[in-house]
Amino acid sequence: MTMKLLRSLTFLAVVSLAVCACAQDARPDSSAAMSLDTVPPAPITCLEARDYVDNSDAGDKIHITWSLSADDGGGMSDVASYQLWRSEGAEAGWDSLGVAAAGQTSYLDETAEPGVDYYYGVAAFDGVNYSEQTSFGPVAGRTNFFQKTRVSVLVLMLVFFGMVLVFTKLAERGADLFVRRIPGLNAIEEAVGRATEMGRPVLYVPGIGEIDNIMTIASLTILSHVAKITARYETPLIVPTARAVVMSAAEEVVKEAYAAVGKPDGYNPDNIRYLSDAQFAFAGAVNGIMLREKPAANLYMGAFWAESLLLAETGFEAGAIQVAGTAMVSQLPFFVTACDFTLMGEELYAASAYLSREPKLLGGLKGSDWMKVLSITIMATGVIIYLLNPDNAFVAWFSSQ
Amino acid sequence: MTFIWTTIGALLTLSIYSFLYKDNPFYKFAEHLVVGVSAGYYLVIYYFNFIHPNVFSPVFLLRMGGEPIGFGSFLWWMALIPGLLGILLYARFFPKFAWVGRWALGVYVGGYAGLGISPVMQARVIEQLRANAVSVAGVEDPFAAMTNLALGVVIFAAMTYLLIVKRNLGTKNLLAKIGVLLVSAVMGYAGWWVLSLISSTGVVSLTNILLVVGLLGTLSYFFFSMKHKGLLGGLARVGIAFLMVGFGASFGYTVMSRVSLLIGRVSFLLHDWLHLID
Repeated sequence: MTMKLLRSLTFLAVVSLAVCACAQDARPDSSAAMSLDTVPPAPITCLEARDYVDNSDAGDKIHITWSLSADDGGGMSDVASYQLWRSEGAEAGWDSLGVAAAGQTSYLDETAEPGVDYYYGVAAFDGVNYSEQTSFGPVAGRTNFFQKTRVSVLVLMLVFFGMVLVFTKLAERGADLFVRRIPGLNAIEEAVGRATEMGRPVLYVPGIGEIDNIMTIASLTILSHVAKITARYETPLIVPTARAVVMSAAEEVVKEAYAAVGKPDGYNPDNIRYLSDAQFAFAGAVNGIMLREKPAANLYMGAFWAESLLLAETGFEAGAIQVAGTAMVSQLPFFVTACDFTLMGEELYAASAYLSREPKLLGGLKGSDWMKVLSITIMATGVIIYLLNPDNAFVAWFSSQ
Repeated sequence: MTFIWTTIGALLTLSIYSFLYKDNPFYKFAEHLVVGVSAGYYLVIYYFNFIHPNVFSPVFLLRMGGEPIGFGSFLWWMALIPGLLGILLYARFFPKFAWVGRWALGVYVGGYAGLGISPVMQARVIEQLRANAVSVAGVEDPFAAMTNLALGVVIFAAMTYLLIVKRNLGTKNLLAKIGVLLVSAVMGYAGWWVLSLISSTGVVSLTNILLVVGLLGTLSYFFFSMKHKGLLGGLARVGIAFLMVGFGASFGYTVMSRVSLLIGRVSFLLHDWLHLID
């Protein structure tokens, strides 16, 4: 009995030992891990923090850079991340700023107060231990009075303004500045002539832009030219507008044009109409004019949006000869499709300069013309230089951060 | 109640669509209604969205954006001065003082231009120049290189033919035309070869060439200081071709979006109003 009990106890002891041994084999080698955790990674080096300069910098950004820990990718290769701290002085404590991934050598602090001195600390982290912290400071973010990344903008603007001023002065002194005739302008005169022959009015839509829109201003210059022709031919001129100020400006322009050709009595203020500020209400009302008053010539000059095709298509259906002009790139396809002639983009401004011979308009047109030549030259030079060496300073000069 | 409003909306929609047949009293009614309603609507919108919060409230109630402001403070003046400038615009209705309105317009247009010119120069000129000063060097994938080469020779040949050969040599008969085309192709290949020779990867990218040629042509079209003759005329013709391709794509894209608007209206009529579809 005693022997049986001893054998049983011995068996249990052996089985227990075996089970314990198996369980210990299945567990990770925690003792080995514990030995790794006691060794912190090597600290980072070359820590620097500088005021960051970009195109929207208000002095609230500081750029922090460092060299990788010797254990990041090399050495013990156990760096998991980099921890960043920020302090406002030697007396103040360190606040956690953020974490950068292993392999990363920079961090942008976007929460700095402009003008406040900061100290920055960075330490490598292996998941358990931090390396010795490396510090840098003080550094403060400053609002940049002059953004070096915009030098190219400044230079090209000065060149452009210079050219505009020179050509404006030349025009004022009576120099003969050549501007080529734009085919669409002949079409305007033909359209008005046709309306006169048919005894029907001319419809002139100056767009739905406000008076501060450069297209509306160019349109009013062309309106003056059209009004002079209609005054001479004694053809009614209808000008529907979508803006109250544009209406009063159009009234002045048409009135002056009629007076300029000696036909002040031919001016009818009822034909300069305010319809509606609402885009499609305006379009609907102009369509109604087209169908009821049956103008033989429809001229659309100015800033147009989605109403362009509604107007041009109705005018086409009504059988009117149509000439359009706008710098709204998204609307040009509709005018090109539905109108007989279209002044595209800058042709609208060129037309107003050509017709008025106003020195400022001529100066602007000639200045932008030669700016195009300069642009082509820069582009061609850039292509050649880039072809030979992609990492060249010439193209980089035009790049902004 | 909802059904009544939906029915009114549906009937007005149908009235507007009746314009597709011809002008009629239903369309006239809908047109005049929308013009009249929009005038009243915008008056209220302008007052409550602009005049009241930006002028009336700060100047008279001394509150801006829900916060109290002091009488005579910087913010108070910043509300009063634009308000006064806005009132000056109405001087146009009194011919004797109409010139005063130009002050307001001067501030408005000048301020807008001053604020806008730098971003416009950056976004529309500098960035475009930088993006176009790209390498015409392409990838070294043999298939892409062969395709590029074939298309490139055709394009170079066409350009050479249009810009140089046709304008300067002219064509008289079929043999001469074939000869001119051959010369163009050879010159095209030569151009391609020279570019490939100096390219860092040994091949040139068709897309980048098209980009650069398209921009050169388009800029040439909008050059007004010389007549469109000779080389400038040829470049301008290339430019107008690029413009028309762009307009065609834009037209198609917008037509698709307009069709979706039509679908929205039809859905309103058949689903919201008549409940004929789910």
